[in-house]
Amino acid sequence: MLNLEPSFDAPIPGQSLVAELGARPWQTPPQFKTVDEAIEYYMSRMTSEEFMVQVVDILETGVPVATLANTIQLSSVMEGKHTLDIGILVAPFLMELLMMLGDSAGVEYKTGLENPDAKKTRPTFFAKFLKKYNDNLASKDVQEIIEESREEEEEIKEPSGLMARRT
Amino acid sequence: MSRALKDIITAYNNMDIENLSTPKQTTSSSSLVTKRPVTSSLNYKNPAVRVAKQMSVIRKYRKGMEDA
Repeated sequence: MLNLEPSFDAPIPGQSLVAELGARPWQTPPQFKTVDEAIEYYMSRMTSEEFMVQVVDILETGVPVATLANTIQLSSVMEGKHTLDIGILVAPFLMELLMMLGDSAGVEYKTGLENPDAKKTRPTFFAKFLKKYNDNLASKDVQEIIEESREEEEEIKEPSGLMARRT
Repeated sequence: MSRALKDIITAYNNMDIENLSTPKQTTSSSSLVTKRPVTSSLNYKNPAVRVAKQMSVIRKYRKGMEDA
């Protein structure tokens, strides 16, 4: 059913830009400034039993490890724990740690390392095909091709009718 | 797929942690002045190398679990 009344339960456009500079956690200096400090933080956090149970549940639902690692590092960036650069650097380590947790729990998880675009047809392939087709068409006389195809059709034409022999 | 996720997957795939540990290079020389043996060619000041080292520890543990 279509809701005709306007909804005001949404952020005002540009709302994120009006907060005072430094009011957001990611605008303040990070809590962990080096990769080592960030790894130490994650190790202590992710090896807790509560976290491990949650991670195993999420992995069982089919969420890829790469996506989960990305979410964890991004949430830490939002909390002001570390910078985005350190998050990207630490992410492979997080993936390895998540895989270890999955292995230890005996969960069949998705790694998310497969390239989703691998089986897709590239747009450049179509462009290449179209160019070849156009070149081929330009090099041949269209009228000649039509005549050739007509001749072929006449040759292929099989006898039709009720008494025609089946092949 | 978000940009950050692609970067993370690329970073993971490029972590060549299997070939991380380089063997010790011993130098045999008959001269009096010999070079000190080079233990590792890895630059531990590079944060990516430090992350890779941590990853290799976890991967070894994972492989140990798989074998057991």
